[in-house]
Amino acid sequence: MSTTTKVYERRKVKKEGAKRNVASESAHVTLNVKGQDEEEVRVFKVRRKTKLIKLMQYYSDMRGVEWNTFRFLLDGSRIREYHTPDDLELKDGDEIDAMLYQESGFGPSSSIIFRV
Amino acid sequence: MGAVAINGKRSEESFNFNFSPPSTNPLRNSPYFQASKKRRFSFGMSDEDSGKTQTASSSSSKNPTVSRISRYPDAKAPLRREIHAPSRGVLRYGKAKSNGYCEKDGNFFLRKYDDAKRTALEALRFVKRDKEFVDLLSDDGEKEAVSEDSSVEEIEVVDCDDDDEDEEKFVEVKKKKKKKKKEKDSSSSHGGVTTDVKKGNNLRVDDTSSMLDSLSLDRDANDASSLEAYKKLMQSAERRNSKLEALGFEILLNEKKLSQLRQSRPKPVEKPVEVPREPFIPLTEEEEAEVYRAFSGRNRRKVLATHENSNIDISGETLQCLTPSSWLNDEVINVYLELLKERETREPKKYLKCHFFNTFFYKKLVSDSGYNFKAVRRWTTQRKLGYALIDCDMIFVPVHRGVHWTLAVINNRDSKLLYLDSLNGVDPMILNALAKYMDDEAKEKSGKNIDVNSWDMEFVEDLPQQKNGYDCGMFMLKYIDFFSRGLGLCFSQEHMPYFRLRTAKEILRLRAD
Repeated sequence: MSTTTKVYERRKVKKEGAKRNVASESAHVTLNVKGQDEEEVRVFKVRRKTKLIKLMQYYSDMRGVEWNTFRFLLDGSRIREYHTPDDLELKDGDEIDAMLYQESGFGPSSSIIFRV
Repeated sequence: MGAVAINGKRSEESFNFNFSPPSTNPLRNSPYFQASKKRRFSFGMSDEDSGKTQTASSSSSKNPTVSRISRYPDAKAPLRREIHAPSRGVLRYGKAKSNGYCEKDGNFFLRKYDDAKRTALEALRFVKRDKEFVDLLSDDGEKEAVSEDSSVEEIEVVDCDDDDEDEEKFVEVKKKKKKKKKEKDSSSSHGGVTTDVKKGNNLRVDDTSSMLDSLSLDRDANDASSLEAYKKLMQSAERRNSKLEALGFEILLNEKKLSQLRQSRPKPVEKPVEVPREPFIPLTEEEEAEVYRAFSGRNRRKVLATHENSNIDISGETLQCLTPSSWLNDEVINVYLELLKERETREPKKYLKCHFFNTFFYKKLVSDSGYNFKAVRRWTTQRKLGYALIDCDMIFVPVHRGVHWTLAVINNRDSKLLYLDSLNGVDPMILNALAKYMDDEAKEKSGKNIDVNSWDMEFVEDLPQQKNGYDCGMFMLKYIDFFSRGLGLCFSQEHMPYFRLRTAKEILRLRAD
């Protein structure tokens, strides 16, 4: 269910972006998300005022895990789901790190199986 | 194994026999003896039979196995030279075993003795041996015979080495006064005696008695001179006694001084242990109750603390990682490190200038694809931190190694790299990577060139160790805490439960002290 709504919202975002071509640069921001254990960097385009939980959820889905599996960091500082790109003054091309949570024990890095 | 034990027992028993022959009865009744009786009844029996005998060899005649084994450890035991240790020193090494205190007075006699030594050595030895046997063997009989001649010999058996020497010297003086002929005669008779030594006690006794007779003859002839010599010896002994007393006093004095010094010495050592009281302040009852409430199940979902600056929420569930025997998770650790930073900002003079990297830093710096400075380049901008990283005294890098937390410290102040592992592990790669990081960081942020190759890399060994499988995170936090205070690591495993509660309290209050 959530995936369909998300896709819809993304489409909506895209449409809106397409309409406002002139000012589109400021309405969205392209963010790179690099996961801890993979080389690939995934690119996301989000609206500036959208809460980043969307991004987090989408990314987690792509990786096949719960959304709160990852800690998202921007230059070492933690990003929370209620933040928006504006709050964090994100610019195009900023890289967000998706790190697995850490426990001194049998940590998730060893127990999570990624679907994608 | 058993044989060795038997031998050991046998030798001890033979010693017991040797040292207290007059009192064989008590020896027999002693529990030790009876115990040995239980263990090796054959030996016990043979010992009883030969209760009065002095040598293992004599008992061996009664029991062939016993003799065979008994010869093993101490065939020489019957000779019993230990009793007259100084005399042994005299005989073997040809020098009077004079202790320091009597050297001055004894020199006179020593010289005389040295002169007589070469010619009389053999004879002397035999004389001594037989005398020993005499004293021990036939108690009163032989002793009396000897005592007729000089009272000094009585003293010999009872008193200390000092008197033994006197007695020797006395005897040697006597010997000297004899003509060589007589010495030779006596030596020959002694020689005869020695051959008989091993045969039987009776024979020996007879020979020694004859020998003593010869000695007494000699003494009668020289009574006057003997008295003088005796007096001289007594005087020298008395002089020595006074010296002994003086030395005794000195010893007491020195001992007292020592004890005083020792008392005064430990004080400075105790001081550093007392100083760090603050890291160990116990929780008040109210604080404890608060912590236990936070640990309780109904608070699992609830957010108990939010650290604004770092955007970390601590829920009940997260905080429960601080309950005993739970593994610490990264949120709790990162929050605590933030609190430590705030503590330092509040009171900069009390703490060292530190930077606390969060738990993800090392992971980003060194990932599967290797060392990557660019990944963390923006983590330490001046704008972000408010200070330059290379201006810090200490930089703490928590390292998460799958199932274990360890700590790497960049000690800028002392130009050292430290690695602390509560399980004493070693990993050179980490320190190498951090050295490189410092180099890159200095170049990029400040344009400086730090010669990191000259830095020490230390894998700290002398540090508190965890004694279980779950406190590594707590140990790491405490290493950081104590170092940032500039203290040594004066805590141990037993403090961990307290530290867990204290950390929980500080997180709930969002204030580290």
